[in-house]
Amino acid sequence: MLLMLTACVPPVRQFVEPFDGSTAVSGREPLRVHAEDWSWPEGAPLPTEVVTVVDLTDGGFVEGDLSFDVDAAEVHFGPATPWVPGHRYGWAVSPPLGSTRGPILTVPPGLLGEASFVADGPPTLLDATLDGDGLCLLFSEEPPDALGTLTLGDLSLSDPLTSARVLALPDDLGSASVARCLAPDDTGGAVQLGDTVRITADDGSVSAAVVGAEPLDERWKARHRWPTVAP
Amino acid sequence: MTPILLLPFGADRAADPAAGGDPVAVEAPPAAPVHLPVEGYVLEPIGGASGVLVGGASVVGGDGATSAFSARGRYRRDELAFAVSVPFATWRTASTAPGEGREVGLGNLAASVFLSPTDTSAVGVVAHVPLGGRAWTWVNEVEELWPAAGLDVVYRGDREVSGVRLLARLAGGVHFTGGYDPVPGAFMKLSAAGGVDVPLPEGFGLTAEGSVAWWDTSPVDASALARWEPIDGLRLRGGLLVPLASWVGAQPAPVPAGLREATLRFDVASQW
Repeated sequence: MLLMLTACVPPVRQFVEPFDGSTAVSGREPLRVHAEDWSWPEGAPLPTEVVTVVDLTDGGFVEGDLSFDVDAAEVHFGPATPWVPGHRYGWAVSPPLGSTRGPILTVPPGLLGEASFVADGPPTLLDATLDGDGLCLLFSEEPPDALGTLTLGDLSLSDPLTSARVLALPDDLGSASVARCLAPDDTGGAVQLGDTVRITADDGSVSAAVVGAEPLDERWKARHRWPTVAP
Repeated sequence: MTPILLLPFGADRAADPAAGGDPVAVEAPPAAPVHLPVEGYVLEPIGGASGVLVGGASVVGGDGATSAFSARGRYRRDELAFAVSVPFATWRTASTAPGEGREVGLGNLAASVFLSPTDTSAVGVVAHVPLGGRAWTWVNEVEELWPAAGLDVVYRGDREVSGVRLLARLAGGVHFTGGYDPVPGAFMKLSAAGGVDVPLPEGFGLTAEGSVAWWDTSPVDASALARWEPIDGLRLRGGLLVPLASWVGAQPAPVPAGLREATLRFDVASQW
């Protein structure tokens, strides 16, 4: 009975935003780290090492302001200057070194780690999964219908997303429209695990992903460090 | 009957005013020095008179950099003694960002009333009230600075044995805070303290004290204070407190064991 009840407990709600690989970050949009039941005294300085950001294009740390949003239970990193379009940034969530005489921010282990994003970058293909006999694709941002050309083995589709359906994702993280699923009729039912899907954009840039078995919403949650099982 | 007057310096007969002699001044015996009542770090004073105290505590060592300063006013009337103290603190924060490494803020107001039916025992209550400050830190007692409201019931008892004063304190209470780690949102605090006070010549004295408490950020403390009363009604004290439980890592904050801190304490008190 206890195991059944445990299985019914929903996963703890925690995530990072933007997700790993996002290209939709712009301006001075803050980086967010959310953990359920997080609390922090209003106005108290946060341990600086909890979120660190580096500019992978130019090198060097990104200066910014680390704050705690009491209402949202989130740690926010706001850059001191706008994100530079086209630059790739890496950011890490790390455990605090430990305040010996002050409030303690306990970062859940599932939120620790590194991620990257491109500011104002072009949409790119991040993941691909089998959906029955169809194909689901996860992009770095909401993709336009006129995306370019999809190639999968001998299959070549121009503007493949025109007839694709939007895969529903939790819509409260601002990235709910980044997944598309192609019907078997569009792919000819020829998709197999391990196949490589390539998207060639109109500007010639190419992004690729290997078809996997994990459901796409699980891949999306993993990029957000959103646990899919109860801890 | 003519009163007999004591004559100093070898005089051998009283002067008789009827015989035309001058009255001789009598030197009164020296008054006994007025000592401030014995008190320790957590051991409140019993008896004594009204007065004020200003003092400070500074945590030194790798886990230190928090200092607290307080002012206390005490009013004694008959068997009752009322006291109010207000602390403020400066402490090092966890942030290394420019301008965020150190903060200053008010602690909690502490108000107490004690009833001393004798000079050797007292019972009372101590209330802590947050003053709107954001001193999210502590020296050794969490309710002093960390914003919290609470009430403790206290028993104090002293006993003199062979010129040495033995001090004891028992207390229990409940406190409410904002619930930010590592301090619980609500907790009970039970504590016991004992001390020895040794008066020394020339107004000097030593007070050694040990205390255990839970829930507390420094569960086991030991301290020694040296005092000097240069004149009646004025006392200077200084000493050291060592957080024994913290040294072995037995404290709520996640710090490694080791001799990482000690607290320097000092105060000046006056009564009238």
